[in-house]
Amino acid sequence: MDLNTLKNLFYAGYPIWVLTAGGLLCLTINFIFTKRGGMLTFGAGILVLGYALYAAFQQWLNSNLANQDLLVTDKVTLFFICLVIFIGFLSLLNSYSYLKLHEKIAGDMVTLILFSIVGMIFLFASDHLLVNFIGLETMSLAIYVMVGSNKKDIRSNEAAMKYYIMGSVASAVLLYGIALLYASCRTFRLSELALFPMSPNLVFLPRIAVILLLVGFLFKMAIVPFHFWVPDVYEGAPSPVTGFMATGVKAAAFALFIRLLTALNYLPTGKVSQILMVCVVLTLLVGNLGAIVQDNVKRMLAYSSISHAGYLLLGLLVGYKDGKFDAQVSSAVLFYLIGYSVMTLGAFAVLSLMVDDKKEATQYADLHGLGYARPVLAAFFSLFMLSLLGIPPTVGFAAKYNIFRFAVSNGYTGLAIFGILTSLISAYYYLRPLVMMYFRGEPENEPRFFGATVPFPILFSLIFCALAVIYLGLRPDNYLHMAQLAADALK
Amino acid sequence: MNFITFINFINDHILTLVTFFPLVAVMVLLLIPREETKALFGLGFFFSFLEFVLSLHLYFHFKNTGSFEFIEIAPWIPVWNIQYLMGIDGVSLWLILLTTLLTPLAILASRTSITNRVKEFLVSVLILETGMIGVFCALDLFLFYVFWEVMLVPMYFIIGVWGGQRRIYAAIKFFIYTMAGSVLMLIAILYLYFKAGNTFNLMEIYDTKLALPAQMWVFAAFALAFAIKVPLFPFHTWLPDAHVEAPTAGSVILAGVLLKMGTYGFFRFAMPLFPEALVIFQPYLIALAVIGIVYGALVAMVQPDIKKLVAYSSVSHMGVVMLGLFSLNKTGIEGGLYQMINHGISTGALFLLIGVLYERTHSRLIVDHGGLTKMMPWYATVFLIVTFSSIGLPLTNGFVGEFLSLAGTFQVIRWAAIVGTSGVVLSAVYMLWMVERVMFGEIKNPTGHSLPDLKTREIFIFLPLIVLIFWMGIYPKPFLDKMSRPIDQMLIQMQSSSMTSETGGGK
Repeated sequence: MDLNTLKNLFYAGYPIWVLTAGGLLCLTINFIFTKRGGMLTFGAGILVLGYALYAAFQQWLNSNLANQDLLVTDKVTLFFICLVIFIGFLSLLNSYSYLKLHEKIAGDMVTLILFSIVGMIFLFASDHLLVNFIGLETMSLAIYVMVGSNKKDIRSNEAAMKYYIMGSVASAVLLYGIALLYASCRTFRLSELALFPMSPNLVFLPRIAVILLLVGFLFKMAIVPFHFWVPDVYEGAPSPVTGFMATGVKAAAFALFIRLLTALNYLPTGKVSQILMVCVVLTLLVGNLGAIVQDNVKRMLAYSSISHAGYLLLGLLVGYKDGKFDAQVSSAVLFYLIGYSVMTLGAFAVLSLMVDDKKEATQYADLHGLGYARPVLAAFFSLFMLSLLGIPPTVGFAAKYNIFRFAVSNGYTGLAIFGILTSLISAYYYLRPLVMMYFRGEPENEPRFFGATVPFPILFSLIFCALAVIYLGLRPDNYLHMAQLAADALK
Repeated sequence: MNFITFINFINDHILTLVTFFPLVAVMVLLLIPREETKALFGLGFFFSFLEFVLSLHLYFHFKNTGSFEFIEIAPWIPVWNIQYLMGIDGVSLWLILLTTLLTPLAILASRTSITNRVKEFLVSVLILETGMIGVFCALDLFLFYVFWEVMLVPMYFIIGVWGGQRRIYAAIKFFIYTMAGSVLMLIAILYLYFKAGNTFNLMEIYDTKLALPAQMWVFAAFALAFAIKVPLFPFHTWLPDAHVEAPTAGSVILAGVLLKMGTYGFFRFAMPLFPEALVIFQPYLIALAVIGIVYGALVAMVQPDIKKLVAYSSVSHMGVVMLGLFSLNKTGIEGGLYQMINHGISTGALFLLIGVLYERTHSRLIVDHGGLTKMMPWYATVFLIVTFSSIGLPLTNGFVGEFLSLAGTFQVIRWAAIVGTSGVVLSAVYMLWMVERVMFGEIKNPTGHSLPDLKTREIFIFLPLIVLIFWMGIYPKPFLDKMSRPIDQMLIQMQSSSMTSETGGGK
């Protein structure tokens, strides 16, 4: 490897190296300043993420980057790099109150967030399945630890254990799928699948491989029937971590999934679209119906995130025409991921404030009278709930509309009707927090909350998400263009 | 910018101004501290009154050309071909004026009944006003849908926060019912968009012809959304709950304006866009309207609660409106649209009157009251006039509307008109029976002491409504004149699109 290649690689992957170096820096700071390391690392983490976001955005703007062997730097990859760094940035801001309460582990948490973002980027920024797998494991390991970081809380422990065991099995299945794909196509690279035409009598092996790959992905994307871990893990994990998982992991998994679906066009895979259709229908039903019966807001949001994964998958499914996947539709999914991230992270910003004496208080009952005790926070939370429900003029509506628009134009009207009817169910559970906050009258006692005022980082995250929810709902044009530009790179 | 250009600017953007002025008022109200309830109410009323004055501009500059006027057009979301396209015709003009008239009255009536969260209440009412006016102005289907949905949220809060005992149930039911209808409409709108060559512009969609099976499905989706809003039997079950639980202002706006969005939607979208499907569905829709008339009246008769009685009477009266619209001839449609305005005035006034009584006695039960004529003569007089208007006595507005609707229906389907007329008789029965029990007879009320008559503020609330009741009843010409041309336009539209699609189908 000569110097020039190294230089090119450095520039092509600049945000990744920034994050990696930043992660190591945070680890060092945490190691040196043992006394006040926690909040110092927090500051350093914010700076690193901010700079990485800037660098990634610069790359997006002047992207004449050539792919560097294993590293892919097309528009769609850059789009997702921006998105996950952005998600990480807001998640870190959201975790301020949690880190403040558990200052001992703050430094480790910040480092883990940075490393998990690096993992996420490698998960989709390569077309070599083994690199993707390494990225997946880097991300997952960091997140297993983050889920269990609330050591004294039995639920957090349980969640980490569950997630770890189930996640490992899913990873193993995925790896097996990769191996079988290699056995049948003699390549690990998705972009090269087209170059290796298979003999038609060899259909069994790639089919098994594809099924195993799908299982691995559907697990990470939280699609029914691989969703059983979601409610428990989302509930047990600390709120900011849950928000990070619900948005970041989902975005990263979908990023690679889109690439995979495009590549699968070259394989005699059989009926992938039918399998996905069944999954979408089940996901929308289970996600929306499951959310109704919850009495914990976080658990409700877990089911809601399942249902949103369903809408995302629906958005991909409508790209199928005559058994072939047309990546054009993924622009709707990309836009949906932007919108879904801001509204979900906003909701979790509020939830991460609902801490009482180091214990999370996220039952519906804890929201009682919030509209009177903390009117501004309640207004923010209502906005995010209405956006998740899809009431115009919020981004939730624009994003859902965009998905259904593609569905109707591609002739999937039946699926669109099904999707929109299930979103009607969601009205019930998204409105319930509003009922608790406003309709039940004044609270008998002061709501249990982190501090009397909203700390600045979380306030920033709240205001940013709220403005984004409204702005993207009223003027989505630029971001639709952006998603279109990214999706065009997939062809 | 000098004065002339400023005036011209206002003239060109008057619809935007009228639609979004309440939001400006919201911004101002948000700056007032929440303890200053008096100032808040004063400003709220002042702004909504100013809004009414602004909307009068529309009335005085309306040219009555028959097509849409005051048109404003600007790109909104170009990627999706969505325009900001606003414009009104004679029908939407009256509905906008009805909205801007009822809102200040509703605010004025809440002066004493809403005591907590005044600021939030006024903000909700004003946002609601923007949504309602927007629905009547929007000529881009997407824009229409946005206003249609936006309006749900403030109403949800008005019922849920300031409502009665079962407010939570009523609020959620209202929200989910309305949304259930409208989500399917969204898919139908999208379908139309692609069929019409990627446009949401209503004027262009009017020229689009759908094949018959598709037309029926799309019509069904639109009709469901509007039928729930009207509400047409059997989609009416949300209405009694929402009307009864909502605070006075909420009930007034619900009955006065929100229900009219359903009938307006039929007139503006569902009927002219899908004429053949409409003809196929006509008998069923008429049957539902007739069932609604009789059923609503019969249920109203046995209600012990005055507010619930009026709520069910709405089901019955809106049936008459629908009957007129579905007669598909000029007389009937004219009557239906006219009755729609009448119902807004008379039922709005009835809910205001019930609010006045409830404030004094904290009861709405018929058995609790009696002989109010002796204690509150002015109140009783107003109540009687409004009742006459509601049951359609000649010389009041209700008579004109009901007569035209039923006369129009009689030309098409006789039995429907005959059965529908029984609803008018029944409405006289339940209204007058209620008036007899509450206003006459032995003096009683749950407070045990004498009740004060209407105060000056309350007289000012009812005065404009009573003037309108008689004006529209004695001299309806100016009102009907403005509606006449849009109706002709719509009938031509229906004729032409059904003819062209027939020839198109024959090819």
